[in-house]
Amino acid sequence: MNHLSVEQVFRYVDGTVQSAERQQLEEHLSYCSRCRREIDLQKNLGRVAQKLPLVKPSARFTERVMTSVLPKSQPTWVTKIINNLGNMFAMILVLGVLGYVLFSPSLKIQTQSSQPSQYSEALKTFSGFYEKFSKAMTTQSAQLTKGVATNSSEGGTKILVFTLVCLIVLGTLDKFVLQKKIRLKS
Amino acid sequence: MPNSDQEIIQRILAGEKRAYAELVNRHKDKAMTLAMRMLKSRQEAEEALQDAFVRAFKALPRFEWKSSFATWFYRIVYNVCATSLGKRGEEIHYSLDDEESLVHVELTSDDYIPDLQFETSEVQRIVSEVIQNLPPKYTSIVTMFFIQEMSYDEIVEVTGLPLGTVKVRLFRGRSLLRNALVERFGNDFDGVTMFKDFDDKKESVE
Repeated sequence: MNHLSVEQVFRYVDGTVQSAERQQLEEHLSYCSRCRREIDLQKNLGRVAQKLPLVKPSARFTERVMTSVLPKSQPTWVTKIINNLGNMFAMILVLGVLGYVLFSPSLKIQTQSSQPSQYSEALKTFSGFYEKFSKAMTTQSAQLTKGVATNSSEGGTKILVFTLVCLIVLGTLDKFVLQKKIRLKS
Repeated sequence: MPNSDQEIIQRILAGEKRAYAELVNRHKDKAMTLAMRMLKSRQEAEEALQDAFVRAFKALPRFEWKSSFATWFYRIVYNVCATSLGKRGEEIHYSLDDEESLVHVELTSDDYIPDLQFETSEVQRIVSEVIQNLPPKYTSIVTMFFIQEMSYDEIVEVTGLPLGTVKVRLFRGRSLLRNALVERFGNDFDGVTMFKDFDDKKESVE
């Protein structure tokens, strides 16, 4: 008998050879050291291959998978406020400074010039509108506080009202326009 | 006693979604080994594996137990990796080589099979390196056969390849592995039994 074919070697090692053929192969193996060594080599290779160390994914792999598959929990009002504290402070600061610049008597923007620009005209219109609005608000708050409002607190009230109005406008814009767009994108 | 895959899946489907972590921990290393062998890049393998686990989680309600969870899951891993290879232009589902019969699969060193002697860790390192460097279509089948200890039928189920193609690829992969090892070290390690530390339960072929 010739040497075992590759297929015969693999079938013998895997134990899938039929009994009649097995007898024939074993007879050959009893005197052929070359084929015996080939069988040994394949058996040992298989054993080593089975015991090879596995490749492990990185340490936080399971955590990452679970983050991807579990539904994200809805943040509570408190969490939302805490998460946005920084943004809120920044917004209040910016609006406060803007309000101070617009309404502080010492920093009144000079709009008198020989040829008023388009922007100064717009600013004047806005200021006029806002003057009326804040006057109404001040009157209202004066009535509520039984007229204790003084001239010195008038500027502060204006800034406060301005800041609050802007916060409401920006909050509404964020809630109904920006968040909707972000949701649509994702 | 650890829970079976079936028990864990039943808990997940009953609403205990966090139990999926147990399945991930149980299968991630073997699956990562398969992905790594196929894609040859740790980062890509990990991304593919994460994708496979997410897909498996979403498909769990449709899993019908026609095979084991492991076989079903490895099919997802194999397909995700095959898609990644396809994007790179490496097709592993079919090639002309698979048409060749086993007659063309030959071993080298017809006249001389050396006895090799080297340390166990060295053997493991070399075998691991050779398997890792086999082409993906061979290394995937060799890995499933040896590491996942899958039968031909299970490999057919995972890969979707015909049985004949699986056999040819496995034979080729094993032959390439054997030839690479013998060609690399055959002449340098002559004299004593190879794999001495693995020979405890060695069966005699006398």
